[in-house]
Amino acid sequence: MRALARAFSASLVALVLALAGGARADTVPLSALPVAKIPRRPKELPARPAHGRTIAEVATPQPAWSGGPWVTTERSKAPACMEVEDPTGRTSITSVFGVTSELAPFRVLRLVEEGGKVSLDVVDGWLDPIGNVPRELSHARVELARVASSPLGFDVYAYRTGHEAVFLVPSHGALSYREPSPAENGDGEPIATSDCGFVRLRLDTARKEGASAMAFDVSPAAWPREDHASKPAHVWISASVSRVARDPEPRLSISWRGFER
Amino acid sequence: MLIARYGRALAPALLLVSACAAGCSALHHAPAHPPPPAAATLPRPTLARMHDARTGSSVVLARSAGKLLAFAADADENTLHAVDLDTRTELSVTPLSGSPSALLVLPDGRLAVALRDQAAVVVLCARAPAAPLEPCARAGVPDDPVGLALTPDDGTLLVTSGWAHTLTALDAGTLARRFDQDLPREPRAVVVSDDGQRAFVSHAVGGGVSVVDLTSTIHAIHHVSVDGHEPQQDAMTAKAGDLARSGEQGYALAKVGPPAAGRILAPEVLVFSGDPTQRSSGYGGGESFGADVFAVAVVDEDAGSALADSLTVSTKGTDCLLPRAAARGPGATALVACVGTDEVLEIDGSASRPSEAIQRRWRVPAGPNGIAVDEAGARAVVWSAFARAVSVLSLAAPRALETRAPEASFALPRGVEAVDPQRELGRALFHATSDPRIAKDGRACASCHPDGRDDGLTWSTPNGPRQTPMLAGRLEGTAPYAWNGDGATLEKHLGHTMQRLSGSGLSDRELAALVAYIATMKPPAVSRSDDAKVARGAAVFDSGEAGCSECHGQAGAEPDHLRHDLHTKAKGDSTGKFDTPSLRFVAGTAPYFHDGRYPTLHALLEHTDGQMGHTRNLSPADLDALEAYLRTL
Repeated sequence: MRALARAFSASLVALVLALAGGARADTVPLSALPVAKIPRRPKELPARPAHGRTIAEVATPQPAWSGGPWVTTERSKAPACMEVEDPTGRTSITSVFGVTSELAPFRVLRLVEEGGKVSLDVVDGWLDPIGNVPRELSHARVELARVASSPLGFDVYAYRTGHEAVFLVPSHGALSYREPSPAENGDGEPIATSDCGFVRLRLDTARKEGASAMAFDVSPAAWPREDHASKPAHVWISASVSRVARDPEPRLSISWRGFER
Repeated sequence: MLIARYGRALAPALLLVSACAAGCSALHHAPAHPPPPAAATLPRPTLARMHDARTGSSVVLARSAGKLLAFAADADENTLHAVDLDTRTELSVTPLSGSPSALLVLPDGRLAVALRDQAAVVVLCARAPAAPLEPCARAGVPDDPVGLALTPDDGTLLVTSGWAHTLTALDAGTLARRFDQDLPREPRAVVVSDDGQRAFVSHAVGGGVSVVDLTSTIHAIHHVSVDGHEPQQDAMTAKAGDLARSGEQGYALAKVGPPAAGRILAPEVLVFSGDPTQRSSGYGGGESFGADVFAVAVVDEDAGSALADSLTVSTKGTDCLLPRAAARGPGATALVACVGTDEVLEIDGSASRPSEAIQRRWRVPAGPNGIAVDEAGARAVVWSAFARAVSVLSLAAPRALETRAPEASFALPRGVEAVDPQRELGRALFHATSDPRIAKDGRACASCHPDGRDDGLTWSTPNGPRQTPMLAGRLEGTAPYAWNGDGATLEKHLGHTMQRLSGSGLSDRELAALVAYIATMKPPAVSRSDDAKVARGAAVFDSGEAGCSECHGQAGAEPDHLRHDLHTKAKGDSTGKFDTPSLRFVAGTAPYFHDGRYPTLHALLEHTDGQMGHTRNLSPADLDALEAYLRTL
């Protein structure tokens, strides 16, 4: 049964990849995305945390102006972001994070490319006070589907978890993005920035009114690909989810748009 | 020779020909002379529509005698052009008795043409290949027909009439009128649901799509709001709020195909006209707000509602501030033609916010107001009305960063009418969006004055709240201009308006051209009524008791050129003195008064007693007659 489910999942991913390669609008049914089980964020460290592997993408600078420990992601090694949580439980990603206590856990999200497949590693870690070393507590890997691609040199990946469709857009440089606030915060759509190698756009697939997000100023790692001669000044990527009465399930759309220099 | 040439070419269409022959013979007038015997054995050339094209446009495609033809409605010269798309040659020019606005190939091979200034739909038949079409039927419809569509069973031809705000259903075969349904102001495009049960109608003003029930005899109307909103956050309190935006420029509708069928796209512009109780630095809320934003409402065909996310403004795109046509594109896409930027956009119809999901764009000649798609040939044909050019866009080309040129584009030769270069320049300027000389935020004259009419909005201005006036056919002999009569000449008033829009201004030559165009804009052709009630109303209008003509002049068209203080100063008004406006076409320009305080003519007549003439002592019958008369001006 589990093997059947895996085979089905693999065929869905193949479908998504086929759609992503085309020149048309990238419209995808929600069920084409792999389902991810994201482990719950640990609230605090166990009494005796395991001496796990060090997290290579995380550094622990001690700026002169800082009183507490800091962890930062190093984009030169791999696209990796710290995930931080605000008091309402809403999370966001950033490249630098002040650890409130030396014994507080933190979470790192990193994009990993292996064998031509891209996955998201969800790594929970802690700061070992002996040597100030960032160490792994636990590690989970999330399968991603490539849902859009372009000769301009960027890809968009996605997975779903619970009611959310989550899009990941790698970017060589810093970029800004907009995603809908959760309903309890009103309908504001604040612009945020990310400089940790990718941006994460989350859309609530249960919203009857539809939902959309946008990543601005996306810059692929290598400009240009051989089949495109000019380099654009900006690329915007929009992702949305919507459902009309005739749709058997929510429909995803991913579009990109380049602005010439 | 002719028989051999066309006989072969027409063979595949014999079935359609037979059908048309039956249908047309019942409708067209009997020929004056019997046809020659040889011709009697010939199948008559006819048109075969493309796929299941059931929505009208200013350009349509049809196959005839093995050729793929584009028919374009030339409203400048009142002609119909037939162009062979393969050889890119003009095959024929059909003179029309009026100004064509929309075309639709009927299932029997005839071509329906809405004549905007004739209150009619004329049906044309092909008599000979490469020859002009000939009229074979005609139906009167309410004033200003602008949109055409067929029901899925091909039995009913629907016609929208802009000025008469009516949806008319005609029998597609006989043109017999089945019903007229009153609609809100300025309907434009019409499409029919896949099940044939509802018609969806866009509106150039008023922020709505009307859904008309076609199944019962009552034809109930359901209003789908396509007004927008812009999430705001107070910088001081961090509280979330919403800025309301009005849906305008609803000229087009496009049904999305599989895999996203069930969506109807309604390109529009979401307008923030400011808080009318507060004065502003320009027209609207000031530069930081961006008065006009391009949007594409997603209407759920089955649920009869719009996706709220499609009406949410965040990035304030100005890609297409004068959307004038739309068509279903390949897959789940739609094509939108934008006058002002002279571009065609391909958008993802499956997106929650399609205006942010632009896939490709093409630059086309000036004034694109019609699109037809040849799905099998992976190409779209665009009619550019100002340049009088037909363009062919390749839909098979891969997506690219840059704006593309059409695969082919060819201007049609002028007919009898000489080009007036000054008027052409004026028309281009009137519709120019994203021209910093006119407005810093990209607005065009046509943004607030669609078709030279009004947008039905009341704007916050430096002088207070100001309702947009209609221009077409309403300016002659009415100086000074502006509600307060501040502009002695139209040139001065336009220059002042551009200043308020933070535009850098036009040269004197360009201003003169703009004035020349505005002065010659076609007003709606309104059917005049001579019934007794109207005559009675005219008498009331001219009577000393009501006192209307004292200021507004004969037939409301000769105002006294004076400013009057009517004690109607609104909150935000800098002065209470207002220039007497012309009343020409007043019936179609609601709401009324300088601040739009009266939603209907009736409310205005009832509530302005003593301020502007005297209506209190009029009998209900006389008041009714006066209103009826005003509706004919």
